[in-house]
Amino acid sequence: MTVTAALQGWTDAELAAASLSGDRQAFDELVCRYRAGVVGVVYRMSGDPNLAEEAAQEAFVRAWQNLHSYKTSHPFRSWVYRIAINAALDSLRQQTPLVELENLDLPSPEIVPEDSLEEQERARAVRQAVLALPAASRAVLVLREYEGLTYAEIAAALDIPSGTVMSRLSYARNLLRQSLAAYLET
Amino acid sequence: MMNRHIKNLISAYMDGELSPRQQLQIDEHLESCAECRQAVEQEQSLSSLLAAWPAPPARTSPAVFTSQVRLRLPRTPFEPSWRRHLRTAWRYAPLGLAAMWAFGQAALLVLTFAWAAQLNLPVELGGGVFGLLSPWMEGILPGWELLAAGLNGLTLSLGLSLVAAGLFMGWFASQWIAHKNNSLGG
Repeated sequence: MTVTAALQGWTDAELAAASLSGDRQAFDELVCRYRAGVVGVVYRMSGDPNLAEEAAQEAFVRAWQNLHSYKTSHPFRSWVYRIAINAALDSLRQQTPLVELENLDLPSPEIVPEDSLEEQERARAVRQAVLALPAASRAVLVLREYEGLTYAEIAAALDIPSGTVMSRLSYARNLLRQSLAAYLET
Repeated sequence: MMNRHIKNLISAYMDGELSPRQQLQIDEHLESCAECRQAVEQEQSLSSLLAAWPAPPARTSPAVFTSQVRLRLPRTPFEPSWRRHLRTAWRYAPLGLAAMWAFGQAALLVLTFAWAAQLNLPVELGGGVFGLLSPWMEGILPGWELLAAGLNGLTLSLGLSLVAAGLFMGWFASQWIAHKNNSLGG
């Protein structure tokens, strides 16, 4: 059995502990496990697919540098998603866009040509509506709707009480219902 | 059964985040409240609509992404300053051990000869098995007291050296294991 194959049987906590002692192969395994999730979180927070992979890599570098602060009693996923959200927000701040992000009317770059025009339009509207949410509410919504975290996991990831998760999520969904009213089936 | 509308709980209800009892109460309420039923349907529609925003396309393969992250990693994970100082101190621990060994040897020399010979005290006070042999050996071997003092000192010196060597081997083994782990981790 190769070292990489053996690491696949390890828990996140075991991999994090090995990484902390300098084992880069253990950290590679963590990167493999959470690459898609972290890229997804960064993308939904920023709306920029070009930025997503770059910021996701930055998030993993920060995770490596801050491994000593990770508590193995908590899910690694929550911890790394929190870093991903901060990395995405930092990248957005550094970009200093000339126009407000939510006002951009660019076609969603992830949509393949064979998608119907209607689907493209819906995706574009959803993207704009989500990106128009305040960052705090957007983070909660992204972790719940797109990454499927529980309220407790979101609370741990964002270091907020579960009640705040519930109220922010409710607030975000209310705003989305208003902004996407034209697309919602009645 | 709830008589009031439950709109503020719908998000948590849809996310399965309420207690079984609350979930049941809301189920019962929905059977009789068309307005809240409609709110639940809207929530479901919103969730389906949000799914219209697809995940970002992978720009790099998992292997390439992992390699790119690895290239950006500093040599070792970040450590808090106290841990870094502790590690530095551990690296130079043999110097301290050597200093303590030298001090111990010097102290033994003083105890063995200055205490036993110059202060004119019996060797037995210095302790050790050779002092116990004095009643028999004094008659057989002239100058036994001095020899016994020397042998006592030599025994203690060898013991101290063995302890120091054991500690050094332990330190060396820890360094070797750390080096091996770093090599495996690339």
